[in-house]
Amino acid sequence: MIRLLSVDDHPIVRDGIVRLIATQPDMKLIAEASDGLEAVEQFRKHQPDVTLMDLQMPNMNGIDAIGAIRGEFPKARIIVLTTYEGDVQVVRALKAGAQAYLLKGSMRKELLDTIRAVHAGQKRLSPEVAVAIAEHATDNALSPREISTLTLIAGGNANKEIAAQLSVSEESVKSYVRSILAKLGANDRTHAVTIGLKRGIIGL
Amino acid sequence: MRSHLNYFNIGPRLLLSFIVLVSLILAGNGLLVWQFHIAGIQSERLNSGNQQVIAVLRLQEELLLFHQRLEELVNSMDAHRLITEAEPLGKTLLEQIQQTRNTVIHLPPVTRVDPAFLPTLDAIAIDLPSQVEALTSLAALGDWEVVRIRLASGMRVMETQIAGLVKSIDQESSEELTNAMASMRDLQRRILTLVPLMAISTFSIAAFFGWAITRRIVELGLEERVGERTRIARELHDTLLQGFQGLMLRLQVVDEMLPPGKAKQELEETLETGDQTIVEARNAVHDLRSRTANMNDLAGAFRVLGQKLATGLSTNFRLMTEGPQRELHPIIRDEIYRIACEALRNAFAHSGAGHIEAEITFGERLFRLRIRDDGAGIPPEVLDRGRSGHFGLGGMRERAKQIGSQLTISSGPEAGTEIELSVKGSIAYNKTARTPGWRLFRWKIG
Repeated sequence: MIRLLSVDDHPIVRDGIVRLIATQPDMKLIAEASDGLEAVEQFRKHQPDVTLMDLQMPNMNGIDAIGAIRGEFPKARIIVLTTYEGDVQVVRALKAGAQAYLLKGSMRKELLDTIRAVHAGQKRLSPEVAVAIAEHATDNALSPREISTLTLIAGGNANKEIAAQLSVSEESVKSYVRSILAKLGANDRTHAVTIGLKRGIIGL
Repeated sequence: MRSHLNYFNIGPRLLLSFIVLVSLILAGNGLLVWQFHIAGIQSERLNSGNQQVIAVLRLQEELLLFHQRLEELVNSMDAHRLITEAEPLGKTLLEQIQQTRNTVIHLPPVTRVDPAFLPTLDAIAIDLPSQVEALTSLAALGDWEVVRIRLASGMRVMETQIAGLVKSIDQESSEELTNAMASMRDLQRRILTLVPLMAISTFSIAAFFGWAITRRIVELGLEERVGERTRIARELHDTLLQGFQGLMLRLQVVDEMLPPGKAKQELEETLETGDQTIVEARNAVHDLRSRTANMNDLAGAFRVLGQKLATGLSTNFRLMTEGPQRELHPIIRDEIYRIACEALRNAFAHSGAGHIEAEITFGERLFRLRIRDDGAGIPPEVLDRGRSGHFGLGGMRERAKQIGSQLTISSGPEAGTEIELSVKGSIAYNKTARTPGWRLFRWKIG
């Protein structure tokens, strides 16, 4: 019997997962959570065999929750369930300790298999996700500062405001921007934001 | 999240224009005030010149009266009267001289006082008592002939002095008047030039402000639309798409429950379609944010679109571009692309044309898109109202209006259709992608 924890802030998605799991005799959903903090709490309480984890959630996001859980329980097995296929996001989730990365679009067909595979100690990636990772495997990653800068650019902030929020000089912000454009191969700031969103460097 | 600072960002060129215009207006006003100041001084000088003339004439008259009165006294040959009356008369004249002196001293400092004026007055004032004394002492002797001669000679000296002064002051004053007339004419000419110049500057600054505000409104509108779009994308993603994902799972459960048969097969096909729909919807949501952002190559996008539409048809599609391709503002580019999509789809679907052409002109001041075909043309009633139940033409006009561009559709039965969309360069082109210097500057302030 595989004991499962489902973490997602969308009740309808959780409801679908509950019903799908219920059809399987070898699986049992023992707990649910609607954000990262709750997920850590529920994990501690029930210590499920496999956790299904959404990424975009209020309070604490999925990647932080994975980190927290794996910090406490290094053997925890976690499947990321998300709509985002950006390579950077995937790599972040895997580095945090997730065993599988499944797009919500392929849940219907692959969720049950993936759960069994991960329970058996394997790793799984959706094919689209694997392609995205392969495409950018040799790229230079953005530094944390550059990621903060890109996030603020996406929020519509001018260099001056970004400098104020990051407590650095405007000159530094300009050099971050130049570096971001170069690393992402973007033509301008808007283009950089688009690429950032697509690759999951920043959230929607 | 944008700071209020941005709302005052009007760009360096406009800022420079403002500074130049404001300086012009300030300088113009300064010049005008200066001209009036000069005019004031001029009229003050004229006025005090007149006062000098009046003062000296009055003094001359008093002197003549004095002379006349003394002559009468001498002619009466009454020594007693002469002695008693001459002294007060002299005193009165002295007072008059003192008064004239005061008038002259208290004239405004800008006045040019005749240098001989005060010395002449002083000379007369010193001379007068001795003259009067001489007369009275001579009269006391009773030699009236000598008195008469003494009076005539003594008075002549003073009268000549005064007459000379009158002449000189009068000459100066008329010179002053001539000069003043000339400089007033100059002044008038300068004021007549300055006032219209300033009116033009003031008008231009108002026009510039108007233009800047309009431009800013358009830009703010575009920014707002980007924000709105992001919000819609997030909402759609968070509610609709997630909801569908959940529902798909539940349908999958139903599928698992169904025994093999027609119903199960039907449901599985439906689920497949559902998967595809979700992928499409997700892409559409993603597009809301990133639309043609990667599609900086508008011409390339049109070529691809035209070729896609032309596949399987005998219609010949041709794309022409004029001028170096320039980067367009993302929102404008989207709208242009959508208008072009609609126009091309209409042309391929309804015109039955043999040739369809798209022409893109990247002008310095104007971006222009023309799409023509040699097909059946759009029936007038459709052109007027838009095809009923068809969003096409109405939607195109709406989009064109929203980005402040001009859309003209000309068509006639069997004469083909031509659609022309023109967008002002200042609206159409992405400012961040102009020259490097400009770009840096924009970054700094916006």
